[in-house]
Amino acid sequence: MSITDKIQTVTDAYTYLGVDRSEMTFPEPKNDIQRAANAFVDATILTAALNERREPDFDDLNESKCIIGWDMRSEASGGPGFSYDVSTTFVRSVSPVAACLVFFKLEVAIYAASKFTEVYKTFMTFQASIALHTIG
Amino acid sequence: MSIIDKIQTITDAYTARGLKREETIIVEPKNEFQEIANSFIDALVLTAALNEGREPNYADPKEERVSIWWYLRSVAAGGPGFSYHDCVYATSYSFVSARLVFFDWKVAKHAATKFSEVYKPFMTFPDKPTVNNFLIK
Repeated sequence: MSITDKIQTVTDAYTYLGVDRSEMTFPEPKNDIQRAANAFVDATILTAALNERREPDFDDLNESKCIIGWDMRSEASGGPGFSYDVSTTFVRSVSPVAACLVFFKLEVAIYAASKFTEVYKTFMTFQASIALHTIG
Repeated sequence: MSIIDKIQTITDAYTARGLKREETIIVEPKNEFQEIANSFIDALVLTAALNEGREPNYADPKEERVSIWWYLRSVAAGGPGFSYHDCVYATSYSFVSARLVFFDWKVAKHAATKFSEVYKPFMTFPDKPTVNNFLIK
C-alpha cells in the first residue's frame, strides 16, 4: 500500500505519526488566527506523514524539494478558486515555503494539494477572516 | 512616521492590530509544534500590522504582491544560515499564504531582516524533533 493510500484523512496523518492532534493545536480556536495556526500545524503533520517521516536537507544541494504553488484567484473573479497550480516547482537551498511543508515527490505534493485543499486554504487565504482585519 | 518606523518589535505589531499576544498564542507551548503555531501567529500579526490591515486582492492583475524567499542552507554546510534571500513579486499564484504577503518590497525586507527570528521557528525544521521523535534526522 502506498503512502497516499494510507493517508486519506488528516486523522490518518496524526495516527501514522503517533501524535495526538489535541496536544499540537489549539483545542478550541477562538478566532481565524488560531484556526489558521491549527491548519498550518495540520499541514505540517500531513507533510511529515506523506513524506514518510523524511526531513528535507537544505544543506544538500542535490536533493530536490517540491513546493506547492496555488492559484489564489476566486471563482467570483474568474479564477478557478483556491486550487493547486502548475507553478508547483522544485527548490534546493532557498525557499519561500516552510521546510516542514516541502515534499520530495511531485505526485505526492499534487496529492496533498488536491486531496487536502481545505487544510491549506484555511491558512493560505483570508477565508473566515475576523480578527486580523477587522480590528485596529 | 512610516509603518517601518512604527513597527520595531512584535509587541508593536500586536498593539497596532489591537490584539494582546497572550490572548492570541498558546501561552505555555508544550512542544515544538505549538511553538511553530505561535511563531506562525506572530508572523501573521506582524504582516497585518506592516500592511496596515490591507489584504491582497488576487482578482486584481495589477496589484503587486511581494513574498519573501529565505536561505535555508546552514552555516555548517557553507550557506548563510536561515536568513533573508530575496523578495519576489507574484501575480495570481502564490507559494506562500496570502496572510504573509506584502505590497512593498522595502516593508517585506524590513520584516525579513528585522524579524527573522519570528519566521525561523516555522520556516525551518524544529531542532528538537517532535514530542514523539517521529522525524528521521
